[in-house]
Amino acid sequence: MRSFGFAFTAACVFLGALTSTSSAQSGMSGSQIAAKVAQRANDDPRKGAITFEIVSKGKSRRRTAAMVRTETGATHRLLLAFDKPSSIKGTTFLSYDHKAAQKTDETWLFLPATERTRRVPASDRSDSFMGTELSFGDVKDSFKFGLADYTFSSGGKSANGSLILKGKAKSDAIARQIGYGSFTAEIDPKTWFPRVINFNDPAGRKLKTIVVRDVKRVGDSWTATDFRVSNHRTGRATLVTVAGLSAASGVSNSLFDPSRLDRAAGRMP
Amino acid sequence: MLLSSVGALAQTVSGETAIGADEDGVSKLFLLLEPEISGPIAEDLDGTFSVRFEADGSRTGVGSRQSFSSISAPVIKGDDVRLEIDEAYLDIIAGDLDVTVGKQIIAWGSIDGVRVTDTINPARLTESVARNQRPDRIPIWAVRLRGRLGAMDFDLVAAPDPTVNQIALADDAFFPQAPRFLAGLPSTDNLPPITREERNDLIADGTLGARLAFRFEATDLRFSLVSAPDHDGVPVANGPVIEIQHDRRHTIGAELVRQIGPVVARFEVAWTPDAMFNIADTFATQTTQDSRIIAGFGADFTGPLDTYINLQLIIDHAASDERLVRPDTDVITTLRAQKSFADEDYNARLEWFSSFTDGDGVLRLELSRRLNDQMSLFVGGDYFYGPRNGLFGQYVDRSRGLIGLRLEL
Repeated sequence: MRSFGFAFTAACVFLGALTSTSSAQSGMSGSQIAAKVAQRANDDPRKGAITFEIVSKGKSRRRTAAMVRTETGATHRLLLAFDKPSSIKGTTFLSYDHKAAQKTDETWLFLPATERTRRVPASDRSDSFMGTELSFGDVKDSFKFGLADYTFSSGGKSANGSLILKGKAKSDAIARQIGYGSFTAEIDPKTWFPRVINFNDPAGRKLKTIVVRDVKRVGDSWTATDFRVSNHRTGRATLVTVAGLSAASGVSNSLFDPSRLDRAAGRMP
Repeated sequence: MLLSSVGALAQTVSGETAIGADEDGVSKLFLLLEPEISGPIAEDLDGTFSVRFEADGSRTGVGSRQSFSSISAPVIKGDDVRLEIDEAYLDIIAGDLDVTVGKQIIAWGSIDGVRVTDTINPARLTESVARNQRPDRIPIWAVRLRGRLGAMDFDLVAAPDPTVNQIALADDAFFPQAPRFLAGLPSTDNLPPITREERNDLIADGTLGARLAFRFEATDLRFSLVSAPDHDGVPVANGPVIEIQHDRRHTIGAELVRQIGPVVARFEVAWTPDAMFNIADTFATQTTQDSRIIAGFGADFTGPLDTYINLQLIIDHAASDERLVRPDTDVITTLRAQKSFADEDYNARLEWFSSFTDGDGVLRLELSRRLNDQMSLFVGGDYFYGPRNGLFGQYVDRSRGLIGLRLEL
């Protein structure tokens, strides 16, 4: 699995119980913290209604989508079917995050205007997702940091007890692909979920800040149900909320079939 | 159950109005409205119903009516005003099987704008390639069955609907002018009347199609077989008129789509062993049945300044011992570049079609401004160039400027 950037995996995710003691945590290396974040449980099927509120220059726009995510063991799958506004109704996003390191992650987008499902190029992962301050990579991932993408270091502990994790893109090429050159994150050691992430662009300039304001748990998996993404370059922000988060048991595999993505919007659980 | 589900049906209205002008004055005065209702009707049963209302009070027109089958013919079929049932289908989920029954669009293929294996639905060609949606597929009545067997997706289609491509009327702005589309006859005002054979034999002129798809890591591989009427048709002299005939043809296709680093590469090829062609210098009296091969190569990637780029090369070859009206080989390139800016309030788009064979092309530019989530204003134009007997050069007098409004309510 190549996990690009941080990751918002649709509403975002993660973990359950933690056994490490506080003193052990403070002595953890950056790689150990990043591994804990990457290993966070994310396999419980979940569904909900996700709203993206894009705020810019005093004006705001809303985009809503039905969300469902499941995991097969080898692949984490996320499906978003937009229903509002009308201009994007029926647009459907599907991502496969393969856990095997050698497998390339895959992303598809069905656009009603073209009546076809397209694979999204890897380079698009740093592009804006549906006009929000999230990138395709952010949406596809799960508030996790790609272990193959960054060199990690620990920044100690913050005043509120969070662990400070720092990451630097392993190469300029990776930085360009994921859209981030480095980041600093505050990790909640109880959940291994990032609560604040500051991203810099490949040139080292301050780019985005993500503040997670609320998380909810389904099974062992947590989802960020309220977070804000601020783009320091554009002055814009996107507020993301997830309503009605609940278990999505019995979801048909055909819902996640890229060849039938044109019908997925009408079949969301 | 049924009544309680009706509340979940979504109602939308999409549409466009546009005014165009060329060197002869107003060339397009167009209104399109497409109300749609869709959603769950019962458990595992979804429905979609939409109508298409269009009106044009200009030389562009709303196109020929003869291309429609009896069951797909417009409900209102005036010269300037049309009302059609657009899509009307039920989608039944039976386990891992999807069954779609009704008037629908089945979009196969992966090359954009040029139909290689995408031969199930006919298309509206009333403005040649100068349409916002391209191909602008015409929904047809069909039964479609989709499912998965092991590692293979299958997609089966039976369509008892002989509707074929809709072209402009003979007096309209985008009626074909090049001799290659008129059986070699010179494009003059003295052309014999052009008619189309009737499209009423739902079974004999219906369509059957099958597609098998395999998905590997970051790769899609698909094979298809389609038996359908030739949507383009071949003009044949029939007494005092030229009749466009749509003989059945068979198309065997293959597609490969692969994600290669930052690029999604697409390859598509179709072989038609029984394509019909006009023989040169016979004035539409003689045709020949030979092989036709169309291959398309395409790549999508993000270019400089975060611009979306779509590049394609299409080669269309007719393998015949006869000297044909059309060139033996057409080589066409397409470029699409698109970029949004100013908080996505503006969107700029450039499209360029170019024929190496004919030395002609068309350049299309558009700038749109989002007024709100329901409306956008656009301004643009189409510039046709090249010799008048070419694919695009035949419309060299149809270069135009356009302004209009798009709606999504």
